[in-house]
Amino acid sequence: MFSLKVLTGGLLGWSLGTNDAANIFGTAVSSQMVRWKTAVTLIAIFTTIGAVIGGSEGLETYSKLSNQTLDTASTICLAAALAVTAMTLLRLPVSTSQAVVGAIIGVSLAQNGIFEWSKLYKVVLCWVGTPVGAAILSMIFYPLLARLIRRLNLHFFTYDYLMRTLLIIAGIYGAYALGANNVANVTGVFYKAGAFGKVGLENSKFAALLFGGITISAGAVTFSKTIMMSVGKSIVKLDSFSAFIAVLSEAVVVHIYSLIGVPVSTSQAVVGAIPGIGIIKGMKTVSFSSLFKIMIGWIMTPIVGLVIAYTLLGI
Amino acid sequence: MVFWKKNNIVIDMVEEYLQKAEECVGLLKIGFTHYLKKGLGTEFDAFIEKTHKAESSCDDIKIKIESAMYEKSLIPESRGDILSLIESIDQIPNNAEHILYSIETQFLETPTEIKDKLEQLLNININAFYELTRAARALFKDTSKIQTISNNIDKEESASDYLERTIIRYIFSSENIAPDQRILFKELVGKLGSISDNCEKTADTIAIIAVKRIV
Repeated sequence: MFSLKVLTGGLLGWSLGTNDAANIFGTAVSSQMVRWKTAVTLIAIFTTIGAVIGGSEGLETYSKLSNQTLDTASTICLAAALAVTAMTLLRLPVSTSQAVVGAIIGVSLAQNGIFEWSKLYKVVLCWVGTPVGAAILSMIFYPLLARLIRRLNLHFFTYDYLMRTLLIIAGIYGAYALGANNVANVTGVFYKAGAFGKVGLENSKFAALLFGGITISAGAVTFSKTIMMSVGKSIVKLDSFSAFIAVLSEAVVVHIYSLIGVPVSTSQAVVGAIPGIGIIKGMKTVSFSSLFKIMIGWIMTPIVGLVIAYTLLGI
Repeated sequence: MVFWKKNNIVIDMVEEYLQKAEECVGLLKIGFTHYLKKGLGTEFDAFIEKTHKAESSCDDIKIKIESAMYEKSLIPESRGDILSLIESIDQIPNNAEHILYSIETQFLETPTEIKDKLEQLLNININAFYELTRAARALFKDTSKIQTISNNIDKEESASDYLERTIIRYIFSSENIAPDQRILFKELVGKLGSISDNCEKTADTIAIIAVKRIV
């Protein structure tokens, strides 16, 4: 039996699912290219598959960062969930991965415990690399795929159908990448604490990944519609092809980081892809105030996670 | 395969609508030319009747397209674009019918000296409409042609505006036209000229539909 403390991880997974589903299918759903029910069904299936098939590298990374007990793991997830909520209330772009890492550091510092600072540089580099990578990928994908589509000389019914299909394919891939990359945020610390069985055993790893995948899916299925519509509409200013490129770039970059084993933010990947498309199209797609907000979110999220975790353990 | 079938059904219905609209506007041309040459009478009334029937058919097809768009559950973006396109084109057959009815109900007798200019104005506006239906068809076949067709419509609209002003100026400076008739003829000229105005607006809609899908 799992400890009830694992439920804090479930809560974090649920919140992650509610927020990040919008980064995958927000544009397609809000522009009515894809029905919300279809979108969340695909997210539920492919996030879970992604978590189970591709999530083990992330689990290993979090295992190496520090040692956890069930209590500290639960504190980390609770702190991260509170940090995500606080940042969301402040309307700042938030990364669950950053909140979790901040909370891990906070718990380690509070306990005067061990924290592998040397492992942290790889994680921070990946945080920076996420939006930058997505921007570069979108600048590569856009002209290549645009040229291909121009050659097809499609009339507008066929074009719309193709766009819907591409948005679904990119969404499926995005859901897979989300599960593979972000499952470690949900169950990484619990896996290390032995909540799913002995660390290193295939069964315990499978249970951790499956639990994480299911909770992220649950978030998408139960509560993502409102966020999907509002986030999607802020991205939908882009045409459907640009939206497809943004989601594809996000999915590829997040998938790459899941192979490296570093959980990153899908929101930051999307935010990076959009100015990349803007550069290619010669138009302004992001404002300096938005960039400033992102920078603030970047710095604040791990700090808030750290402070909350430190405080919670102090209490 | 289902997708192609659904699309083809809608495209066929739009083509049916365009043909009927062309028939209606074609009848305006024949009817109006007949009026300029032979004046009011039973033959002219027959043209009004035919135009009215063609316009009613346009409305029927429009309703059929609207229901089909929802029944075939097309992508909302495509659906919205098609519906706004048809709605915009449909103002022209309505106008065609209205022009003939206003001649008949107001017993307008055109002064000989403006007949040629009115015929010229009619032809310019009818040409603008045929260019418009060409643009609408290009949307389903070859969108690269739309810009050129749009430019043609712009030219026709400018020519129509110029001619409208010339005719109205003449109407108000002529001593052969009674003051009450002047207002009626000014309205008639305005209605004829509004065909190319509507064509220009609809061509812009078509251009936007196409541009939204250029990558």
